Amino acid sequence: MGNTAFTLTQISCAGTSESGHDEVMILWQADAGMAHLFPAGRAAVSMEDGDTWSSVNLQMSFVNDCLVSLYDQDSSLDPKLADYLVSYDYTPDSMPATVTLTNPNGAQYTLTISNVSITK
Amino acid sequence: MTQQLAQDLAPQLTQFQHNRSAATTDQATGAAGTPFQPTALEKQLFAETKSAIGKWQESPANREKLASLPGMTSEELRGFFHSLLAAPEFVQMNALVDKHRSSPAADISFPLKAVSAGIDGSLVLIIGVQGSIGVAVDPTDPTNYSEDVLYASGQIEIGVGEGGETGVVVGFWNVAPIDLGGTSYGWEVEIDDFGGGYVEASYTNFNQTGFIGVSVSLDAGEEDGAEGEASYTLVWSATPIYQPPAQNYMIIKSIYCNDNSESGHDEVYFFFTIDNGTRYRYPSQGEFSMAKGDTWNAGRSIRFNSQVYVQLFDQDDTSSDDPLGSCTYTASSVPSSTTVSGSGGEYTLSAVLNPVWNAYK
Repeated sequence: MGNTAFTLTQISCAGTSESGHDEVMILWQADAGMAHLFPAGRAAVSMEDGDTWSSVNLQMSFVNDCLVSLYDQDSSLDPKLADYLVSYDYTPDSMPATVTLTNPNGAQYTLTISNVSITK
Repeated sequence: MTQQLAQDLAPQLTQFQHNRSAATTDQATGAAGTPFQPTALEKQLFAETKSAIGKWQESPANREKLASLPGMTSEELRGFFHSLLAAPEFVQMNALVDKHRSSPAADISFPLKAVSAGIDGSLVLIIGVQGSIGVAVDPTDPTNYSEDVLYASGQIEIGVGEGGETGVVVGFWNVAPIDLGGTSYGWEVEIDDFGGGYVEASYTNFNQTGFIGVSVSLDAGEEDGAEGEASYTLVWSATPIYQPPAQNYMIIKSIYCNDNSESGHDEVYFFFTIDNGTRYRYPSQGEFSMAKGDTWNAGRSIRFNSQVYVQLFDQDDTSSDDPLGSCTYTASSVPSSTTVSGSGGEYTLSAVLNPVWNAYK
């Protein structure tokens, strides 16, 4: 079985799920294994239309898939809760350099990756 | 370091190292404000905790468990720390935790929102962390695995192969388990007539939170060297997301809405129960709004041995959530397309079993 590695470099926002900002956090999970939340703690990144989160620089690797989900952490709610925004499931056969994701609530985010390395 | 655990945590450790480096450049100003002053009840709690740790570590069987930690997977570590908090030696401590939670504000200096149990010291044999690794739970529901987090705190020493003495450390926090992450600064708490042990108060500069909690151990660990030293804490697995390895692998690639169950949109999420065991939710928090003709590219991968039971729901703020249908996938039957219905809605799930990737050919 091969292995695929890549770097999630940046996230751009062209629409938020609610008025004002989304407080964006990344939850990613390779091969249904350990889930990773970034940034740690309550350090979500506030984003609105036109914003780019350019310092993500998250290195990921997987065999079958890597599910990258964005959540909006709403500090007015229970801290354990967050709102799902969008997600993309990277697979060895689907590694677009950029992918734009939307949800009907108005969220529109573009994920940019680089350094894709596929080992057979 | 176990291969499985190392593989599970390698990306986290890379991020940990990055953030830990950043933390050391911050000003250790967390304790510049009002230093933590424990109440009488809290001094009693810390003393009982110290005593419980001592009793627990006296047991040869428990010391043997500590020695076996390097061979554990992350899930085994999680179970180990849960069992530690539930051990007979900690009964009195847990009683004081309950008392603290129900005490009037005058008797406590902070609300208790999380209790952690971990091991402290030179843990490079386990995951390359010099500091502490453990589990933090909600004290109102300590046995609920879905509310816990695993944490690693301190310094990172990837690739270093030497270990050292480890000991149990128990923490009491005024933030929820999921909020333990980030940079903090530890300062020893001087308590008269405490006798032995080490009590450390942690502070964070983030969001002006200030004091976040106290940890109790028998000795100052590796992370407690200098007063005010920065420490970085990583938390993960706040909800049951991690799936243990299994024989089969499937992906629910997408969900198509043939008809929504109510006017406007359905707020769709689904549970999947693996091998009649753990039930997972996707998304782990929130929903995806769907109306007729919408497609949700969920991309939810699932590890299983014999079967997966999937239940779709429409989240409802004012009443119980409405079932939108369910189906069971088995190791011998994962149709590429399955239509389910319920509560007036109809959805089609697209799935694939044990995919073969062209990129690897």
